[in-house]
Parts: sequence; structure tokens; C-alpha cells
Amino acid sequence: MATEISQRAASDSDTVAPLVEARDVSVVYGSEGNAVRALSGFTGELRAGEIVGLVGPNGSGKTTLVRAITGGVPLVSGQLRVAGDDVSALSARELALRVAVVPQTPMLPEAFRALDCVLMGRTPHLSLLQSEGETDVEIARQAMIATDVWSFADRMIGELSGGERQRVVIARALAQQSPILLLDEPTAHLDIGHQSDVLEMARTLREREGKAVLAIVHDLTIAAQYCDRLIMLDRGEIVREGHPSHVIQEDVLARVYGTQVTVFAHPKTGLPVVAPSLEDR
Amino acid sequence: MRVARWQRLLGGRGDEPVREAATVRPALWPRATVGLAALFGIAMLALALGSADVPLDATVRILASHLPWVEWDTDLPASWKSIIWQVRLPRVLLAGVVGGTLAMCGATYQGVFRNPLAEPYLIGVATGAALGSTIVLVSDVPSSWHGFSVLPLAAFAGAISSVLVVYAVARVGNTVPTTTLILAGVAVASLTTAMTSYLMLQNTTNTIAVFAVILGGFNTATWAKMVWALPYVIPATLVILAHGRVLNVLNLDEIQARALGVDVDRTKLLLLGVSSLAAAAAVSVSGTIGFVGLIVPHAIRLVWGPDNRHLLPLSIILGAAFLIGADLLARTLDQPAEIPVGIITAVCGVPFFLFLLRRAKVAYY
Repeated sequence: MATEISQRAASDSDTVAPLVEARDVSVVYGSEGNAVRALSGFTGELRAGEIVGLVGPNGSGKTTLVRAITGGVPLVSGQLRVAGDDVSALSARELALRVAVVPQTPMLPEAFRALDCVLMGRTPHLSLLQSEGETDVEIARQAMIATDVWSFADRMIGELSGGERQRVVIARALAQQSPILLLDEPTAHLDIGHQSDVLEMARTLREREGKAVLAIVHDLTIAAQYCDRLIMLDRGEIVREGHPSHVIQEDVLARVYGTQVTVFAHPKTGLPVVAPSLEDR
Repeated sequence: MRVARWQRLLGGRGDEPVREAATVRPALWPRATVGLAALFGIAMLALALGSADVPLDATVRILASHLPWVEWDTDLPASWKSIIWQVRLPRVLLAGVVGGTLAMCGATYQGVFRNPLAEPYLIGVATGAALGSTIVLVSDVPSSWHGFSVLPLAAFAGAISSVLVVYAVARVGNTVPTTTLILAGVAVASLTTAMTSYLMLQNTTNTIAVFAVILGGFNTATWAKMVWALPYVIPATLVILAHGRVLNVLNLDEIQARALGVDVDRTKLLLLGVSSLAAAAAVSVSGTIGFVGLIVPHAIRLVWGPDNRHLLPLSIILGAAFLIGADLLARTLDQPAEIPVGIITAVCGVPFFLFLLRRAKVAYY
């Protein structure tokens, strides 16, 4: 079913409906009295074959949006459709066939092998009594080669470093073979080499499989280099969205982040690079 | 080189040699065979040994003679035949069923609560079940209905009430931390044990009977008790065994399990329900026997790893072997007196429990 969705998405990405479609979505945490509006009237979409970066300061609603797309938080208003269907109408399994998530700091069972963890990505494809077959192992193997974790497939999670675990979780999301990939700070625990690996991989997936990728990225320079489009959130609302050079501008960043930065063009790509202003020096 | 690395995606291979990992899970059958051999050996010893020792070969002949067209026991004394068939075999089988059930339920609770110390006895399920069945025993409620014992159902009511109270009290956000789980479990277990003791003492002058329920035992085992327990234990076992792979996924946190397509709330409720039913049925025929559900699954994890698809069936086999062995010790160590089997399991279990508590953070769970 997932392949069917992604094939459909890949073949005519311009004509079909967006894979994720949010209309006026609001999410409120807490009860009345001390309610916090985490997302306020968010409208946006994610199409097959694009990488959208979600940027903004802490507490701006980025993770809430990812949770809303995975059915993890109820909406107080608005409509959220994933591959054509309303999120609230989809079962956990149907949703997992459409959306794979790489959470920010995932808890992993330490005594399981890395390969076992990646094979868990096959869960939505298996019925209750089914075990992973050769095809599933092969899919997991490809995912682990892609994220550079195959060489320690046999090692226990407890023996891996933070960055290695992060890549195991990314491999698990790849093994899920869903048309939509949500990455919550996918590069947080990674060294610069693996950071660019992960984002290059996201681009490869987009090109070869027409996946739609939504990534929360804190590093604005990285976000600008790898994403087709950025959405900047602040206090649950969209401040600016569009091409990275339209979003990453000194006055916008000064307003949203409350700090003075210098933005200049990357010598090769021309895309914005953000550096501290260091005006005092 | 870096470019080559990610280009290996989707079939393309880079220039770095990749060490082939063992992609195949170890098979269950060699492990199960070892377990079954241990179970069979201990069961045969338990049949042969006791206040009247029956030679091992005679035991085998008496058992075999119950197969159709086998007559090997004609020259053996009738007393041996009735000791083996009427007294020891139901006792051994019942101990096996209860031991397998408690170990399986322990493994299931540990998976559902994502907590290595969850166990029917420690989280109050067993003591709640004992209270439920005691209420039926001391009241005027008929304990069977058309030959179908209601004791396991009463025990289930007690068990599920306890587990819900413990879960509600111990839960912090999406997890059940070890400390709160054990504190809530011990509190509920103490309360229900106190109520059970009070009810029993009010209704009988025989304190031995009270201890039999609270410390557990198989000295009143009959074929009938086996028949009571099985209609509850067998379906629960089938449901739990079917969820081995899903229980592995539940080892992740709830958010990840849901993102991987598991209906977390429904699965947890189903597994808690059926494992409490099975544990309650076990308690209603044996009394509260602690620590089986703790020692057995953890020993298996230490040796064979945490995969629930192996852990659950092996817990059943080795839980049965463990409790048959414990019961054998209970009735032979201090002959002619019998030690309640719960004392034996506690003596083995408490040091193990303390050991686990000490190294709860170590990665074998």
C-alpha cells in the first residue's frame, strides 16, 4: 500500500493533492485556565518530491506540527489531511504506512540489536502473526547501508553512540517505506560528516522515490542549503515561508530570534549562510 | 568517499567493503529443545521422588501404561500406581501450568509496563486475585456453576482491580517508572494480603489454610483444579504468544510504537487483560506464589536476549520447570512436613530481585 501511494505520488506530483495538507490547524496544550496555544491557524502543504524545512525558535510549535501530522495531538480546530485522508480517520497502522517519523530523542531498547530495531520499521507492513521475511531483512539492510550503520547491524543498541543510534532510527524510518518522512532534528547528534550525509540522503530519496520530507532543523545554514522551501514559525504562527533566501534574512531573524546575525550568500550555491554578527568586536 | 556512501542507497554499492552481519534471527527450536529437555527431566524426578520413592523406570512404565495398548505395569504395586497417577501427576502438571503461566505473565507485564521489575506478585495482581477468590470461598456464593469454576473469574476481578489501581497510581506521563510501580505494587499487595488474611481468619480456625493461600502450594492439587484453570490459561496464552513481535515494538516508547503503526492503548489493554486473567486463574488454584514471573524471564533474557518471540514461549517452558522443581524441594526438603512453595520461590527470588534492582540500568532488558 505504501509503495502504491508513493508511486502515485511520484508519477504525478503536480496534479494530485499534496501529501500533507493543513488548513487552519490549531493545537492547544493544557486545560482551560492555563491553556497554551502551541499552533495557531497553521495552513500549509507538503508535496511529493519536496524537502521542506521547519525553522523557528524553541517553543515555536515545530514539534507540535510534527505530532499533529502523526495523530499524536488532537486539533482544536482546522483540518489536517495525510495522503488525502483526514488524520483523525486513519488507524495507527494506516498512518504508519503513509508517514515515518524520526523523533528528536528516541528511547531505544538497549539489548536489541541494531538490525532488530531497524526491522521494527516493517511493523505496519506485517500482520499480527507474521514475522519479518527475507524481503523485510533486505529492505532493512538497504536502509542501514544508506545510513552507514550496516557495519554494526549485530551490535546491541546499548553499545552505540548517540549519533549511531540516531542513524539507526533514521534507517528504521527508511525501512518503513512511507511516502512522507518527518524528521525532528535529524542532525542534532551527528558530526558534520553525517549531518550532510543524512540531508543528502533526504535529497536522494526525494529525487529517486518522490518522497515528501518535512524536517525540523535548528541550524539555519544547514536548513537553507538542503531544503527546497522553509517555513519559519514563531509562537505557533507562520512568520515567513518560501525559498530559503526569502526566509533567511537579517531583519526576520532579528525579530524572531531577538539577536543580531549576519546573513551572506554561500560562495558556491548562493544560498544564505548565517553567522553571528559579533558587533562588539 | 562520502558521496559513495549515500549513493549505495537502493541497491547501488559503494567502494567501502561492508561486513556482512548475521541477518537471520537465531532459531527458536534449539532453545526450546533445551528447555523442554530440562522440563521433562525435572518432571520425571518430581514424579519419582517424594515421601515414597518410586524407581524412575517404574514411573516411566506406570505413565506409559496409560497410553492405549500399553500394559507395562502389571507387576508393579497398586500403591505406586495410585501415587503416581492420582497424587503426583496432577500435582506436577498443576505446578507446571501455574509456573509457565506466572513466568509468561511476568514477561508480558515487563513488556507492557516497560519495566524490568513488573511481575504478577510484585505489582499486586497475584494478591488481588487471592483476595477475589477468598471472598468467594468464605461467602455463600457457589464456587462453581454448571461444572465451570467461577473462582478464576472472582480472582480475575481482584487481579484486574489491583493492576488498574497500581497502573493509575504509578503512571507518570507515558511511562511507569520502576520506583512508583514497585511502591504502588507493594502497597496494594500489602493491603490485599491483609484483607485476605483477615477474611480467612474470620472464617476458619485453621491458620494453615490461610498460609496455604498466602504462601501458595500444590498439596491440594487434583485433576479437577487443572480443568478449572485451563479454559482461562490456554486462550490467554495464545493471545500473548501472538503478540511477541508487537511486544518488542512496545519496548520503544509509546510515541514511537504508535508511529510504527501499533494501536498502543488497545494492545496494552488487551495484553494486561489476558495476562491478568491467566495469572488470576493460576492464583485461584495455587495461592500466591511470588517471584516466578521475575526470575524466569530475566534469566532467559540474560542468556538468550530480549526478543519476546523467544522470551514468551521459553518463559512458559522454563517457568513450568522452575516451579515443578521448587515444589519438589518444598515437599522433600523437610519430610514429612511440607514447606509452602512460596517460601522456596521467595528464597530463590528475593536475592535475584535485589540483584536486578542493583543493576536495573544495565543493558540486557
